[in-house]
Amino acid sequence: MDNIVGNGQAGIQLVDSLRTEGYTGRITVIGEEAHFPYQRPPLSKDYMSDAKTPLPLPLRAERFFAGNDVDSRLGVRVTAVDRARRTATLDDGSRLVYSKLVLATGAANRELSVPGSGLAGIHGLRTLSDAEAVHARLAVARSVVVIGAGFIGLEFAAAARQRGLDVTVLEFADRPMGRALSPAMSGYFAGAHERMGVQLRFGEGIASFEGRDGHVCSAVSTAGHSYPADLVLVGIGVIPRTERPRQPGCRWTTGSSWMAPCAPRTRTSSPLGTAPATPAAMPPPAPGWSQCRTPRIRPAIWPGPSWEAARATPSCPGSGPSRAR
Amino acid sequence: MTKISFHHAGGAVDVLDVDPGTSIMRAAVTNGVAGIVGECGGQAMCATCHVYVRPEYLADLPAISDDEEEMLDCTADPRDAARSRLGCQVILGNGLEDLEVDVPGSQV
Repeated sequence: MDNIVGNGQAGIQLVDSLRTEGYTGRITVIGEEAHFPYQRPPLSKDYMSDAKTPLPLPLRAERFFAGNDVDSRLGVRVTAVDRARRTATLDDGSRLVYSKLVLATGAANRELSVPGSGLAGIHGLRTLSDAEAVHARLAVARSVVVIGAGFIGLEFAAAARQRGLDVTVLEFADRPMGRALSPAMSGYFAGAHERMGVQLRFGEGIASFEGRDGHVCSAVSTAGHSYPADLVLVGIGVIPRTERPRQPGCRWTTGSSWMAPCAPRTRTSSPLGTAPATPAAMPPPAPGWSQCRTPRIRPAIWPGPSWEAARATPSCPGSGPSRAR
Repeated sequence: MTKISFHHAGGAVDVLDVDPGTSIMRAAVTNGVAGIVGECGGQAMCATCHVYVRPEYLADLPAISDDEEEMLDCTADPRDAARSRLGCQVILGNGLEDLEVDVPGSQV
């Protein structure tokens, strides 16, 4: 039996690719969220509009899981892996035996640690639960502060502004989406947001939050300015969830997979198997790209993990190469 | 309920009854219709929910937005000047109670 830990883009793409390429062994997918896997990109877009509460869009139809003989264990976490015995222990007390274990645990939001970060009204946006909480909060909020002018921060800022709220974005760098875009493109998107009334504050990070009765009421920037806020959205990037493989003899290599010709696909160095962790690295933009021309990039967006997962299948028994769908 | 039929190459047809307000893409993805991907989640940003609307329904469709127009130039299978649409941008119901589309051979 195979087990795949994580039912996000990478985990589900891997299931799809394995079955498409003819793998007939049992597949168990373990996901800590209680929902069937859903698409995350719409959570920062449609989900934030003030129309009726939108429905999550599934990554695959439910019949995909039944039709492909996938055993989905939802709402549970893996607490321990015994590589010698090839077992994974879940937090519901059950224990699974595996022949191959694929870790597709993805990423977690980077969290703030400045004073006041624990106040109510300060949200991240990654999961369906996060989106539901933020969506509910938007209905009563008046002043929104967004920490970070990346994809998530700007998408959310635009959505909140379209609902008529006052929106201020604090960005430590001197331009938006600086990790992903050229200065010219950054300027284009800054202009587009400013024209719709979003206040962009570059060169200002978050220093602290002030609260009233346990709820956030303002955000104080590193420049010393205070901005009223009854809703704060934190979008400051992600951290790969690599806690489990930090065991002797197991090392993550995701993120540099396409740079080195000798390691053409994402793998851990462990006999655990392939590790299409999100956020994964993009395939090379053109043949011949290497680390000497391009620094390691890890854009935390959906195509990376899907492509990585599709490329990971040839090392699984009974399957050949595949491509993401 | 509204009815949508997905015609595949070779003659197979998926016929779905869906709630009004559902897009072609969501109907397909939620019900596992082969050949409709919806990779971007319905934002008119990926062109992987491309469909060819059958001619008798073209007059009932909403206008093509600038975003959709741009993405329709990026479809994996060739764009049909009259029939190509992004499934995420066509919402069923509200006068569009019955629709038939042909599914392209490839989306990526």
